[in-house]
Amino acid sequence: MSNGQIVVSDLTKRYKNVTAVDHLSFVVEPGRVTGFLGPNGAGKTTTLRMILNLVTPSSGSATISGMRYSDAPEPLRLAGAILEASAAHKGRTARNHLRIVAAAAGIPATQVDKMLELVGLTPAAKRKFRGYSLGMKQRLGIAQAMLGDPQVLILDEPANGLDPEGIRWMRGLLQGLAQQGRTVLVSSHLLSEMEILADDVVIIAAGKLVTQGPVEQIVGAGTSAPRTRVRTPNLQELVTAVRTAGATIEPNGNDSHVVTGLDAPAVGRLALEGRIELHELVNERPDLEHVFLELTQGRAAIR
Amino acid sequence: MTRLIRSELLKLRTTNMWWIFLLASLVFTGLAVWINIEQADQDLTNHYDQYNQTDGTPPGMTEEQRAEFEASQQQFRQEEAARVAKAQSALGLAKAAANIYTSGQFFGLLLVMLLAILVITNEFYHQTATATFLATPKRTKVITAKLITASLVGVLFWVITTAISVTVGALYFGAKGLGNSFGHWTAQQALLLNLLVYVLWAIFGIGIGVLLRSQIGATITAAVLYTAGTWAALIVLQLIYSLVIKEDWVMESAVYIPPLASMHVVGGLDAMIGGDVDLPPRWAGAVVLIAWAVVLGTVGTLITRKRDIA
Ligand SMILES: Nc1ncnc2c1ncn2[C@@H]1O[C@H](COP(=O)(O)OP(=O)(O)O)[C@@H](O)[C@H]1O
Ligand SMILES: [Mg+2]
Repeated sequence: MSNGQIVVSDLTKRYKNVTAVDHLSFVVEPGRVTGFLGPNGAGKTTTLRMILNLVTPSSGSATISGMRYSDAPEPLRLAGAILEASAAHKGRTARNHLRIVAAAAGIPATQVDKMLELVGLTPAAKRKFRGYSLGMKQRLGIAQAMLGDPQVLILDEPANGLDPEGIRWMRGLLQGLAQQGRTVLVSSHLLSEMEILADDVVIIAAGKLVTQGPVEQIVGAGTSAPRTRVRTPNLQELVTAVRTAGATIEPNGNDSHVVTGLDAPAVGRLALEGRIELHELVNERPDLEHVFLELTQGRAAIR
Repeated sequence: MTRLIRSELLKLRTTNMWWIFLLASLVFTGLAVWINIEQADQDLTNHYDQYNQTDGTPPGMTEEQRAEFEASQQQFRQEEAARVAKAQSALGLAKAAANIYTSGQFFGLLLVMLLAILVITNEFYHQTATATFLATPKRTKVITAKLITASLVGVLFWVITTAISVTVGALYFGAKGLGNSFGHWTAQQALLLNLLVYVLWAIFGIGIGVLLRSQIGATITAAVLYTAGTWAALIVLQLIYSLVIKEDWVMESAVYIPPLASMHVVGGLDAMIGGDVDLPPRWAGAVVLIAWAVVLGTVGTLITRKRDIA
């Protein structure tokens, strides 16, 4: 049963004043990077912690490779995780921190040095955690998550606080791991990042599933009508032509306009026929950001 | 389980905490041995002999005064002889030895308890509980490993404090030309019960750490209750006993206060409470402590199993 699937079924977590996760079900497949998206307070962290047996569900269950995390004979070989609060004792060195985790999991100490090498922390391995930058802490988190060479990786907002260089490094690493056939589940409230990184997305809001599927599919399904951005000195003529064709046009700032209901070739043809001069003609690619805002509208409120 | 204990021991060894506690323990034990030997020395020394090396009476006394003085001197001599004979009997010496050989217990137990509290609260303070429970999601195993590790710490502190106080104590008895009571059950029992008590306080610390997760809150509460709380309780009991209920069970109930139970187990409570109360047997103190350890250990385990790590 080492298929690497994460299966969340009907997972619910009720706190005193809020249902943080509300009958949530989804499946995460191996060999792909899955983005776990939702506005702040959507219940991402709570869900990930329930998958890892750190938080007890009020009802429902979650399995990794068909078993609950708490039943795994070798938990760190089943899954590695970087959670928001990934941290070490301030007065302890990175290497000792990893040795402690490795000792508990029966992982040889040589693996500790290998992982420090992997994340580029070898020069700082014997420095105390107190002096670590955020980027170094994230790297240590990855080294810790990779200690057991896990089939599944779970990361909670790993891009938080990373500089662009660090984000690029992280992206390469995660995509590489997915290519090796591992399951990678990454939560984020930042969509732009996910669109580049993820193959699949699971979108939640207010603890409930909004949608799930491959990124292209979600992005494609999000908008019904094609949108085209145009710039023209002959605005009046274009507006008339577009309206005649049964589409709408609205200003878009920067003296450009967006035509909804026609794609770029159609608008180009209209302009040619009407001898309308165009300075810009661009297909507005519907992005995850739009879809996300559309789907989670009104549910992003602080709960 | 050995993996987990190794991991826990590594946690202790890889910060500065342990040697600070060790140093404190050495200092406190040294002080306590010194005080206890001073006290034993008072008990074992014949004060009549000490102060009346030269014979004769002070000059300028009337016949009557002289007779009175000599009578009182005589009485003092006899009392001292009887007292010292008792103190220097096998049992008397063994009691003195027990007291010296368990020196530093009061602060030793406090340190062991605080260290055990930190074994738990550090995980929350530094947010390492996540890493710990990811590596070992079966939480009962983690808490068991912590209980065992803390107990090992208790044993270690017992070994160190005992090594110091027994060495210094034996040297003292040797210098006095008195037996060191190593072969006497009263002394042996005190040493062994002291070991038990060190382990039990380590378990208390784990339980308290789980109950009062906050690092600062738990350590300060425990330290204040242990020190000031104990004295306050003793004073309250003393007041009730002398002013309200003049019955022995009032003072006897001191045995149910853990730090006093610990003293009682090694025979140190009689002296503190004052002679005329007949305290319950020493093993009763041990039973009280074991009951506390079982309750705190169980509660700690149950809470840890259920708690959300967020
Ligand atoms: N320990 C807790 N006690 C009470 N409420 C909580 C707790 N943890 C999370 N919540 C609430 O549950 C909701 C989901 O939180 P979280 O899972 O952290 O969301 P996200 O990670 O998506 O930002 C929020 O409303 C949060 O306030
Ligand atoms: Mg979160």
